[in-house]
Amino acid sequence: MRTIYLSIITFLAASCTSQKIVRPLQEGEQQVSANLGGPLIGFAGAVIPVPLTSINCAKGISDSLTLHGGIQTTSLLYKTLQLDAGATYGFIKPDGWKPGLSASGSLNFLTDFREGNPKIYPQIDVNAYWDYASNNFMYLGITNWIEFQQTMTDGQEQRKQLLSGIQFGNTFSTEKWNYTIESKWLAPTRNSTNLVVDYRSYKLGGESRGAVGIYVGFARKF
Amino acid sequence: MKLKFNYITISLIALSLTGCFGLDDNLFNPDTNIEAYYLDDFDGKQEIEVDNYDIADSLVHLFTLNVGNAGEHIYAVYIGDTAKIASDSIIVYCHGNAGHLDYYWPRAKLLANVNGTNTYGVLMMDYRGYGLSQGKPTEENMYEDVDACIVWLKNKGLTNDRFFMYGFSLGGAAACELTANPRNLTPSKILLESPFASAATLIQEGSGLALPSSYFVDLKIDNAQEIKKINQPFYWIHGEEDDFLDIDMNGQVIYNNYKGSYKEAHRIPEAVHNNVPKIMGYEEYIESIGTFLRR
Repeated sequence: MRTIYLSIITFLAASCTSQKIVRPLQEGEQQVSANLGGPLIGFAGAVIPVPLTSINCAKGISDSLTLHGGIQTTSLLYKTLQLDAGATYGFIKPDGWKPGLSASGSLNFLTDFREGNPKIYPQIDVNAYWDYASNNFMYLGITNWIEFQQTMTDGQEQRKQLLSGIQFGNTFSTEKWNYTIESKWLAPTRNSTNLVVDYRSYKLGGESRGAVGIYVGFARKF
Repeated sequence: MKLKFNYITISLIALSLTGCFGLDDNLFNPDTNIEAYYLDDFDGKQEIEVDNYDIADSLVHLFTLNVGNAGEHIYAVYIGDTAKIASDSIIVYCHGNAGHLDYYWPRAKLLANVNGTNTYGVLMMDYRGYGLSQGKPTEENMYEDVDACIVWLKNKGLTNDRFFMYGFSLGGAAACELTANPRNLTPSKILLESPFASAATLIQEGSGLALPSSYFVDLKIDNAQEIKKINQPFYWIHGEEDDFLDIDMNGQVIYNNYKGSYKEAHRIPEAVHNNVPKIMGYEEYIESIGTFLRR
């Protein structure tokens, strides 16, 4: 019963992409990025990330504020349109080993081409990041999707209002390109032992918890 | 190295392409890794193991039925005297997702011992794509396959009043659908073991978010709504420790939604998804089913 009902569904919506903007862009700077990756699963004898893809764009409004938006291209294959738009604000700039701190607020809009059911999920991310080796940086943070609905489809109680994750990553930066690799631990409090997907994740108390995702991103700066 | 790269590439592409068609196929997990049906002689893994519930070979009939428009056939097994279908009461057992006729054979034998050995005829089928049954498993194909078996029984004389429907887990969807919206015969009673509330509930439980099922699948399975159409007596049994289909999120919702003539609930402490009869105790399980069918 492990490989049936939900397959790629679990965590899909909240796991489509790596962090869009961790370190705010400089004022006037723009970038377009493509991301690939998702939760690690056992598949055909190998462990691979679910190949979720997205395309994002961003523009620095000031040195502290960056606006960004994106589309989840894989979800289109599932007949679902998923768009997001938001802003990242840098509260503290890094100083040596003292990390910089940024927070992102986004709205994720979803609708499908089957029945046209719309939903909006606010998302709040907070990241600490450290600059090193000229322009590279590494980061550690949390991501949260907020569920406002109090009941599920058949009237059951919606037990959790937050779907959270912990991410850490590294961005190698050149003059025109950023290359990011990120790992995200999705829903670390959630028991994934008996989920139907063969997720490869960390264990706590002997039970597999959530799902671990691996993502890569390529960003072209303008 | 190149071979390895190609292997991974193909796997990634294959995974991506599954999305082009939605995720409906992922509902079904057919086991086709058998070459023949062995029933009592099957030495592979079975969902539960039972002793002392043997059925005479002369009362076990394995047969095929043509289904669909493509000339495919499915396998079914009938426990009982086919010459007495016109007078016997019969349980149609819709099995779960994990296996095939051999895997669920002990369950069929238990039902064939309700209220005494072979008091009821029992018919169990492998849906299209399961076991040796041909074709592709889909929601509608599953309903058609169960209904084809019902037609087979009807043609041998079964009538509504002697027809009981039993659905376990995935099979609960077929049992619910064909009781709420009967096509050829109308069951006089329905029994659901460890059913799921709906495809949407599966998705929402899995994702942790209240996402509409239409984001991922075309599946229309909604036992929690279909049960509202059913007036026949309803028996529900579910393991309280079911860690696959949470009892309160699934079976209890269906039970609460039922507004028909009679219902009874059996929440089995310490039982998980697929061991309710074992944890309950086979004799107690059989007695419980028997009491409901007799009433």
